[in-house]
Formats: sequence, C-alpha cells, structure tokens
Amino acid sequence: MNHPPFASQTSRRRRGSLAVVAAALLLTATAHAQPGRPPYYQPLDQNTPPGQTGAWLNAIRGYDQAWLQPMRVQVTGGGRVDVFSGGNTPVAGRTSPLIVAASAGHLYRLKVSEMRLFPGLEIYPTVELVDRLHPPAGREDEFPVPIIITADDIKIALRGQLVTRVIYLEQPQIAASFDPLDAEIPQSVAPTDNALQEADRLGRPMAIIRIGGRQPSAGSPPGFFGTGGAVQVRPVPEQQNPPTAAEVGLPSQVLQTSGRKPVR
Amino acid sequence: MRYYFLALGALVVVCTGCAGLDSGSSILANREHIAPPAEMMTRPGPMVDGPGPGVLAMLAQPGAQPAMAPMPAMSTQVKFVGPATMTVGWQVGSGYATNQLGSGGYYDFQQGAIYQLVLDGVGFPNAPERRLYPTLEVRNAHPNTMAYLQHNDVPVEITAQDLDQIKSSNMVTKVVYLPDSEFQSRAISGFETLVSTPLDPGVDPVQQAEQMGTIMLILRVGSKDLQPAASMVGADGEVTQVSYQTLDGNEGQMAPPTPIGYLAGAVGGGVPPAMIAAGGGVPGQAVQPVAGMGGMPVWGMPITGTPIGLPGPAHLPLGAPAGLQSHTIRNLSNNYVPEPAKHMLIDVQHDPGYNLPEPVRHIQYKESHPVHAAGEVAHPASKAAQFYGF
Repeated sequence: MNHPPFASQTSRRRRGSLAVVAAALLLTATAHAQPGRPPYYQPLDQNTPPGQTGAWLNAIRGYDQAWLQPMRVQVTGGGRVDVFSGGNTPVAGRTSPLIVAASAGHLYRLKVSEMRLFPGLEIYPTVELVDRLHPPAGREDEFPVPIIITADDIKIALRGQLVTRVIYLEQPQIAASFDPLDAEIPQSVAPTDNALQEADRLGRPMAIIRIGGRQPSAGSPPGFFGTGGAVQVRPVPEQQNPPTAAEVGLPSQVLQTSGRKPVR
Repeated sequence: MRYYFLALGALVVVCTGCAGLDSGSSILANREHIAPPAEMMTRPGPMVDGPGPGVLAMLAQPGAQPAMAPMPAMSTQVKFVGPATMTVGWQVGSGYATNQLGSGGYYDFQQGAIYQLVLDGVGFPNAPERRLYPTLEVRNAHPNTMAYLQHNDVPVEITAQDLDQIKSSNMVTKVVYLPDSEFQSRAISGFETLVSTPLDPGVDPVQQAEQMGTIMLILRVGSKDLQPAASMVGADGEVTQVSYQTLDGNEGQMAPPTPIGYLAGAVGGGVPPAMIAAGGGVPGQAVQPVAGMGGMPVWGMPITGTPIGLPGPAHLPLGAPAGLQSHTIRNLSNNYVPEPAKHMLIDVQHDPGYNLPEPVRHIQYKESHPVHAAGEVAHPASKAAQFYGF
C-alpha cells in the first residue's frame, strides 16, 4: 500500500475540518440574516382603523394638545381645502396651498373642492397626525409636514380604490440623496408589507393620509369627520409659496421641508 | 480524537444553522413575533379595554385618556352604478319607497342589517326594462375594512349577464369584498366583486369570498315579484285590486329604508365589547336568566306529565266512579346517561402562536462629557469683558 506521508495527511484533515467549520458558520450567518423578517413586534400598520394609531401614540406620549403642528396642504392644480374636526361643519378653509396647524394624535377630515383639474368634484380625504416636530419657537410654519394630494390620487380614488400614504421624517444617517426641492418623493411598498413599519425603519412616521371617494351624507356621524383635535388654518409663508430655485441657498429650511417622503 | 470532536462540533453547528433556514417549526420561527388577529388588536380584552369586572365608568379617574380610538357608528355607503336607466327604492315598513335614487346615486346604509331593494328600469339594449327585488346584506365593519369603508363607497351594479341569469330563473349572488393583502396585486386597496354565476356548481360565493378577504356587501337577486298584481273577491262578489303602500321619490316622497333583518353578532366578527356581567347594568344584581323568574321555568319542574315525555293519565273521572288506585309507567328504554363531567380540559392551539417581545427590564444609559482643565479652553475676545472683567 502506498501510504501518504504523515504530515501531508494531517494537513489534509485540518483543511477538511476548517472547510466544514467555515461552511457551518456561513449557513448559520445566512439563517440569521433572513431578509423581510421584522426585527421587532409592530402591532400597527396601514390597515389599522383610522384614528387608532394616533390615539395610541397620544395616550402613550401624551402630546401637548395646545401645541399645533403645521401641515402644508397642497392640491395639485389648485383647489379649496376645508378642514373638519369631529363635526359636520368645517372648522376653517382656504385656497390651496395652506397651512393647517393641528393637534398631534388626532384624525382630521379634509374637503377638497373647486379643483381646476376636476371641476365640480369633491373628495374627502383624511389626515391622521401621529407625531409632531420640534421646530424653533416662532418659526413653526417654516417646517410644516407636507400633505400633497395629486391628480393621480384623485383618479385612483374615483376608481373605488383607497390610497394610503405614510409621511415620515427621514433619518439623516440613511437618507437617500433625492432632490431636496422635490415636494414629495413617493415610494411604494408591497401589499403584504407594513407601510408604517417601513416608514419607521426609514425615519419617523408623521402622518397617514387616506384618500378615497366616499362622500359624507346627512346621516354621517361626527366621528366620520375626525376625532376633534384643535385646528387652525393659516396662509402659507411667502418664502414657501411657491418654492423657487432661489431657495437652494436656504438648505436648512428646504431640506427639512422636503425630507419627509411618503410611502404608499 | 480531537479531530473527531471538532468534526462533531461542526456537525452540530451545521445542523443548527440548517434548522434556522427552515421557515416552519424551526428555531428562528420560534423567535418570530406574531401579532394576534386585527379584531383582537382593536379590542385587546379585559383589563386593557374598557372597564373590567366590578369597575364602573363613574369611578374612573378624571382626565384619564382611553387608549382606544373612538369608533364612530359605521354605515356603508353603497353606490348604485348601473345600468343607467335604473332607479333604486327600498322597503319602508310594510310598504315600498320607489325611485329614491337614480343610477349613480349613493346611500349610507347602517351596517349589520339586510335591506329589501326595489330596482326599477333594469334593462339593456337587448333586454326590456324590468323591476327587480334584490336583498342587500350590509356586513359590519371589520378592522380590515374600516379604513376602506370610511373613505370609499362600495359599488353595486346589475350587468346584462346578471339579467340573463335572472330571466332564466337563476339566482345571482354578488359578493363585494376587500381582498386580503396577499390577494392584492397593488399596494392600493381596492374592492373585488365575486359573482355566483361563473363559479362551479356547489361553490358558495360567500364562503369563497371569505377565504380571500373581508365581505362588505352581499346582493342577492332573483326573478321573484314581491308586488304581484292580485285581486280579492269580496262577499258581494266585487273584485278589488290589492294595493300596496308605495312612496314615489319622483313625487318628492322620500323615506329611509327599513331593515328586514339584522345580522347576528357573529357576522362581521370581532371581540364583543367590554361589559359588566350584571343584571340591568348594576353590579350586585342577579344575572338573567334565573330559574323561576322572568318567565323562566322553575328548576326541576317537568314540562310534561311523565319522565319520558308521554302525557299522564286523565285526572277527572269521566262520569264513572273513581276506581283507579294505581298507575304505573315503567321506562324500559335502554338509555345510558353518563355522569356529569367534574373536570373539563380543553386544549386549544394557535399555529403559529403569539410571540411577543420580552419587556424591557434593564436600561443602561451612559454619557461621556469632555473635561477640560484650566487653560485648555479659551474664551472669545468679544466675551472677555464678561469673563475677565476687562
């Protein structure tokens, strides 16, 4: 028999053992790095009944109901926006764009009418304000949460579908290099994904917008029009109406405004 | 020998890693966090949702905020989209209100009820217009459909194919449901309509729709005429036409629909609301039913004269002297009535079971601040007067 040298045999065994160990570690690492699995339990998602997410967060965090978070509501092509809050009579309204300052943790119903692109049409989307920002005192209106209702949204709603958007404040560490002057950068998630969790992964969810085609009627309960948070309507500050290229020189303001991207 | 143990250890690691790759009952699967159903999330249960046993709302601490979102009384907005010549009416009390809506109109129906509709002018170019009497079952809102129903109407349409089936005396069932996320092709939620006619024989469209989503509406329509032209002959031989109480919307006679039936609480699902187990809502009162009270029979009182359900003997002598001194009925049935169970064991199992993360038990917070010795920091010249006095 031709026996190999002892040193060579030992080396071969050692290499074989190292190969087995390496394969084992690779398989283990692959098993623990499975994509798509939520790292923690998330009870809320985009299908949670409207108002529940805000109510839970309001109960947990105890938002200051006297402090009103500004939202910049804009309708593509122009239109009039009236705001309801827990009653069938609008609290206030203005022509788009406008600043709607509202209490965090509440659901609000908007009435969008007099749209130039959709004459004679009225839609009633809702805005659920789930969080608030902490802008410098006295400059709150310079850092609003953008609420943009596009023509595509309205067309989808008229087809009997429901458009749900989650607007979040992105984390600077993982922020993508989008154009800071874009008012919104829509991203889509799969139907089986949790849009709220995805927004939470990318940043801090601020608002949930739902756009459908349902019209209120005389028998609509007050809860249809929101949960009764405080609301103020103000005009948009001049430097935001409309954003121009000259504002490129104001990166702090523009980046804050455009840094919130909707996930739908 | 050491190579043997090294190989054995590597084999254990390989097996552990491979087990983690399995998406079934594996080690990693046990670490997954699995949420309870949506209706349980909406109503978490005792001690979390609403007052617990023996706790009255009046004893609640002032200023406490409920964690639950206010749920408005829900109605479903139904939009009747066609055909274009159709008008919509419904049953009101014992009569009917016709022409309440035109094609394209909508109405908010209270949920959890069944309505009798009257559709006039249902016709197509190749089919004459006729009147139909469908029923509309409006399901209760489910947490899965609540957002959709608060923002969208639910369309109902009678098509030419439906009318052909009805003319052939077939019943058409149309189920409008909101598909579950795994049955949606896009992230934008949209309704689906399941019609019974193209389904295979024996397939229940309602059951089929429940497997794919949450039902919002069920329209059942057939060829039955609920207002047939009938006549009655009076005692004097006079023929009188039967008349129906009818309101006509074209003449301004409007009336809301009256439900012809209500759905059981189980339909639509959900955890029942928080309640206090007490009679009349007052703790300490007895809970109905109580034997012998409120119309309930006294406990132990037989409702028939004999133990086996047969009527007992006549107790009145029918014209003859009372002579019967003994009456015996023997039950020779070979019955087996087991002893009552003294201990009950019910095994339930969710697969996969709920798996919630461990609560936070320890937080360690540490901050590091730079410490500067004298002379290591400098003040700006503009603040020199503040710090150095010159």
